[in-house]
Amino acid sequence: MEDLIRQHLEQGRTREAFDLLVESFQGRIYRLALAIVGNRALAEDAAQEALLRIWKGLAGFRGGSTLSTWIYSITRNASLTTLAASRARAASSMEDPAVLAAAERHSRVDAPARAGFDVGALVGQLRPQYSQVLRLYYMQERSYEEVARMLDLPMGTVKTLLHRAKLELAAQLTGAWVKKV
Amino acid sequence: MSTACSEFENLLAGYDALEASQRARVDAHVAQCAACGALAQALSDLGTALSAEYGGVCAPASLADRLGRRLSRDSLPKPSPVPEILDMVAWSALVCAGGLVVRFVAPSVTAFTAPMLYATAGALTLGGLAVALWALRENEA
Repeated sequence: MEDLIRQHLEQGRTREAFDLLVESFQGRIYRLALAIVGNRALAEDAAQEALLRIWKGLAGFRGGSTLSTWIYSITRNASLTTLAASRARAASSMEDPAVLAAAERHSRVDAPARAGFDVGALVGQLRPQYSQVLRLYYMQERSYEEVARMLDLPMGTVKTLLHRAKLELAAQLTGAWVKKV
Repeated sequence: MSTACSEFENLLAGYDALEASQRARVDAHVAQCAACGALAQALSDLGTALSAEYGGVCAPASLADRLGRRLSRDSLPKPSPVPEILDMVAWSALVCAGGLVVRFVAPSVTAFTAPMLYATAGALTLGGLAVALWALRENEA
């Protein structure tokens, strides 16, 4: 698919290249954004922003990196920008209880509790590096390689972060202290 | 609750990716260690919950809809310059008409003669048309 997109670009058919790119990558772009920002509404905003940035830069893409690397890099930046803007908005309206309650509701990826614990809420309490890797690993069909590519991390780092995240969550579930590596 | 054996923590956390021989060793240990058994159960419950929570997440249809709307809005054609050109022609006509009125009502106030006014009106109209043609070409580009 990347080859076809490149062919379109080389022949100046930017719109065709973009349509193909959206068809092929929008799922991964959305999942990467969701892994970083942690809730669906913000993830949609971040994914849209990423796709717009990709559209604006696509005609000038020269292939210094692979297309997917470029796309993931833009998505990570757009997601972090969206997250920072959201936090700034939340901070500026901290005194409003209605806003706080809404933020609490939207800070979780999914609402329904399962089997006695709300895993989305637990993941939301982890440090960002842990929660991002954990969400993406399960969204990307448990592929270490894909998570490493999308977050631009070495595979060993992905494994380490994932194991620590799981152990931290398991410690919360069992109530036991589990040694942090 | 007791602490899981540190040697087996990481192996349990990465159980899915273990080779068969390692799995067998971990299974044998878990079968006789209550703390590691509890950790293995918690990790298994977590894996099930995490798969249910995050597995199969797709981009919402509204993303493509919003993107399509945004792109079509960003690539709308430039506004037509025709209204501005018509404005210019109308103002030219008004200026010329005003000049003619002054010329006939109070000939001593203005040094303009009728031919000068006609020439001015013609020049303004031709100028307006030239600007119109230039603007239309720019708009197409």
